[in-house]
Amino acid sequence: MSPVETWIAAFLTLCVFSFLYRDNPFYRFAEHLFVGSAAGYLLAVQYQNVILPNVVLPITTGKPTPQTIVLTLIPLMLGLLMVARVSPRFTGPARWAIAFYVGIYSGIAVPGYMQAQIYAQLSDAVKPFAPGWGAVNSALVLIGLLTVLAYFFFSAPHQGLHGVSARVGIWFLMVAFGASFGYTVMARVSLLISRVQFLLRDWLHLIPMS
Amino acid sequence: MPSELDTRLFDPGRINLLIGILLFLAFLIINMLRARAGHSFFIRPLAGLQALDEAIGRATEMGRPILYMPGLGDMSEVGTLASITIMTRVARKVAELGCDLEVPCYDPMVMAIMDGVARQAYREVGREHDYKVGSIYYVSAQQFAYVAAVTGMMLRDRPAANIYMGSFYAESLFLAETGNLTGAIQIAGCDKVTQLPFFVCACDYTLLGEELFAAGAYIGREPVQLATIAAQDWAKALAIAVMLIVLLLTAFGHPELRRILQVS
Repeated sequence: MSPVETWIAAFLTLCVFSFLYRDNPFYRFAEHLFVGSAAGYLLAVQYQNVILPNVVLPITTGKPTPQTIVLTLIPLMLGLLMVARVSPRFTGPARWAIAFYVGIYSGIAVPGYMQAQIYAQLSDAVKPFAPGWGAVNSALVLIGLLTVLAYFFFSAPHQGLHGVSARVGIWFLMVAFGASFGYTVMARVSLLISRVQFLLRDWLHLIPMS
Repeated sequence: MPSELDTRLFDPGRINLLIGILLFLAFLIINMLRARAGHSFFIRPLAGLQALDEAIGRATEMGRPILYMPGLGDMSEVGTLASITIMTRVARKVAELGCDLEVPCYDPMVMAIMDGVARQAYREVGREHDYKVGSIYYVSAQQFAYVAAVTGMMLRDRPAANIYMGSFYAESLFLAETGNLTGAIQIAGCDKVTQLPFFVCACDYTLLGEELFAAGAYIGREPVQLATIAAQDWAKALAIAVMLIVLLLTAFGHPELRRILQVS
C-alpha cells in the first residue's frame, strides 16, 4: 500500500470509529462514500457478470439463432418489466415479473430447505452412538434435538411432560447461543485488533513491522 | 473430459424428498379441511408477535417511524419469504394507524416485492393514497455498506421501533446493538442459528428460527393459516417418530435404514 493509500485508509477508519462517540459529519462522509462506491462497483459487476454475457454477447456475437434470441429476450423482458414499475401505468405488468420470480424461487427454496435442514439433520441425528464415553455426547445431542423440537411445537400448550421437555429445550438453545455469542465476540475482537494494528504499525509506525 | 448433462426428468435418489414433500402437503390439506369444517386450533402465544402491535402503536403515539429490515437474504431464502408475509401484516397495521414505515433493502428484488406487498396492504385498508412512494428503498447490496447506511439512519431518524425479520448474517449485531443504543423497541426474527444470540441479547423480543416461519400465519389468526402451523407440528411429530424408529433399528443391527434419510 502506498503512503497516500495508507493515509486515506487510516482517515476512513478513524471516520468510522468516530461513530463510537455519536453520529457526526466524518462518519456521515465515510458512510455515504462507502454506500456510493459500493453501488457503483456493484453496478459494474452486474453489467460485466449478468447483462454482458446474458444479453449483449448472445445477440451481438456470431449469428444468433431463434432459440438464442428467445432465451435472451424473455429474461430481458421480465427484467424490463421490473424496471417499468417506476411508472404507475406499468405497475400491473411489473407484477407479472415479480410473480414469476417469487414462484420460481419458492419452488427452488422448499425442496432445498427440506433436504439441507430436515433430512440432513435427521440423518446425522440417527447415527449409531459413539463407543465408550462418546455415547454420553451422542445421548446429549439426541436429548437436545428432541427437547428443542418439543419447544417448537406451536399447537400444543407447554404443560406436563411436553412443558418439561420444552423448558429443557430452551436451556439447550440458550447454552448454544451463549457459546456462539462468545465465539463471535472473539472473532470481532480479532478484527478490531487487526484494524488497530494497521493504525499503529502501517500508519503511525509505532510498532515494528513483523 | 466434460461431465455429461443429467437430462433425467426424475431422480430416483431423491424419492424420499418427494415422499416428505407429499406427506407435508397431505398434512396441510387435512388441516385446512379441518379448519374449513370449523375446527379451532390452539396456537401458543408468541411474545414477539404480540409485541408487534404494541411497537406500531408506540411509534404512532411518538410520531416517529418504524424501521422494518427484511434481512440480507434473497428470494431463495425461506426466511425472506416469511419476512414478506410478516411485512404484509405490519404494513396493514401501519396503514390503519397512519404512522411512517421505512424499509431499507439489501436486495433489489426483495425491495420490489416488499413495495408491492406494502401497496397491496394499504389498498386493502382503503388508504392507497397514504402510501409514501420511496418509503421502501434500495440501500446497497454490499453487506457493510448496508450496515453503515442503516446504523447512520437509526441514529439520525431515531425510529421508535426496529423490526428485523428475515435472514441476517454478520450485520445482525451491528444493527441490533445500534438500535438498542437509540432506545427503540426492537423485535427480531431470524432463521440463522448463528445470528440468533445477538438478537436475543440486543432485542426486546426475538422469534427463534421456526417461530419466524409460523409468524406469518400466526399474526393473521385466520383458521386456514393456523392450520398450516398445525401441519408443521404434525410434520415435526412424524420426524421425531421416524428418527426414533430408525435409531432403535440401527441399535438392533439395521444401520442400512439410515439411507431413507439420505438424499443424493
